[in-house]
Amino acid sequence: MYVLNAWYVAAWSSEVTRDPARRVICEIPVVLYRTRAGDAVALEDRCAHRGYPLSPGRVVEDDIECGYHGFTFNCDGVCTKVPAQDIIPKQAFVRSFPIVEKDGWIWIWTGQKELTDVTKVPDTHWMTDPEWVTVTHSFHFGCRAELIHDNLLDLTHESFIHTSTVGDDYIYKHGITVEVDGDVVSADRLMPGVVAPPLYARTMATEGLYDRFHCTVFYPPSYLLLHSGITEQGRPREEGYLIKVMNGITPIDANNSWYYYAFSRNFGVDQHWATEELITGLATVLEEDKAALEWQEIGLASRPYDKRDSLIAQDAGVAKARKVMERLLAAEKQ
Amino acid sequence: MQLILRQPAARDEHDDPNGVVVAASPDTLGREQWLWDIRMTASAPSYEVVVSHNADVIHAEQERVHLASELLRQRDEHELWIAVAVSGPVRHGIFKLEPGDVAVWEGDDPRSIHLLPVDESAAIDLIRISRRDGKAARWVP
Repeated sequence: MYVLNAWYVAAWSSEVTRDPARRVICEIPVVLYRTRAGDAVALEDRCAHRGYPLSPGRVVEDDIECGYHGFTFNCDGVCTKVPAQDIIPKQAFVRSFPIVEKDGWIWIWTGQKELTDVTKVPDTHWMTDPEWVTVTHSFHFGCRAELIHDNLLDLTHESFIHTSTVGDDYIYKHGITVEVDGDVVSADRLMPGVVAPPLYARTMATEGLYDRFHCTVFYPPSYLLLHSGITEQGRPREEGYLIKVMNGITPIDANNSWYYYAFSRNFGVDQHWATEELITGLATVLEEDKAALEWQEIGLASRPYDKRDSLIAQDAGVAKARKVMERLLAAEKQ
Repeated sequence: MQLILRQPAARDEHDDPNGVVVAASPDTLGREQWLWDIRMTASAPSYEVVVSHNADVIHAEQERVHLASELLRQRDEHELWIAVAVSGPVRHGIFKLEPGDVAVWEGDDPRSIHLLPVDESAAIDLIRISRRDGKAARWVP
């Protein structure tokens, strides 16, 4: 079950070229390619002829040609050529998907075309702002997307899983403020008078104590924006070393997800060594998350149906996010 | 632990003839024993707040507070407090509660509840919940 009337990250811009690329998004096979003008195209990755995927085929001018019998489809999914005959069957078309390309991300609308709303494409402008510098990663996680949502809305796991990078016991010792506004859920934690996380401390050139904060904002069903940073004690957040972590979570199927991760910072922007350190360090963080959530998926697979989570107060954001997702799924069922 | 529930977050309950549920525990029906829910039975500017609770388990007190000036109260760590803004914006720290918005506090932080009226019409319903068995009342049971 997926919320389909929504935007999901389909790929990084750099991953979509004149060579067709396959993705599976919410169990929908999609082929991505670019036209000669450079526009990204997303079509159902299944030829209307006999179901062969289009992605092993080739792009011819602005169309894609199936590699099995040469059926050719234009950017709208309309069949323009059947090599073996002059007549094109009426039912020979494939579904096309609305696409938005912005700040290096390619977003796909998987629901009803008439409900497409470009104003709902998430804000990722830090990716292209010259005052910020960005590190990106993408990972396949062998777990359901909801576990990644939960993981980002309850960052107390950092104290246990990410001890060498961003974790510290002081995280779970501080409470959170959870705010729910319509479908948007945020979980905010302020940690006054603490040391900077090990992963950033050298880049930030910090010593002593600071106020640390992190606030995860969930824009369901696919995007979580983490506002994070440290400030001098008692100072406003906007004065600090700031980090924006953009998390595009795209379900593949019930037990697999794509994780598109972008980490933008407003400090040490010209320090390439710092960027290199972060590329490695953040990959470690993501690998630790991946391992943990894949173990959790294994644990859940064998859990009796009537056994439930034992949520605690730190899970308030998790609980509210789940409720919003339940509501969105119910709305799509109607 | 602090929870801020904005009025639009309650919109899915609008079809309920008994009013809009603005806060409840447990939050996910059918999982844990029902403890309490809070409904608003009218719309702005004259909100009515109705508290229903499981009297076998918890005790609930409700009070309408008109905020002519600041309100500073200390919450017992074992109590769970809920403020429903019923009139005029009310400020709590960095948060501004508009009519229909709800704040829930539990646990050890924050214990000190400091509300400020943004204008002279400000009023809240303050609901104090405690467990009859003396254990701490929690929003997530």
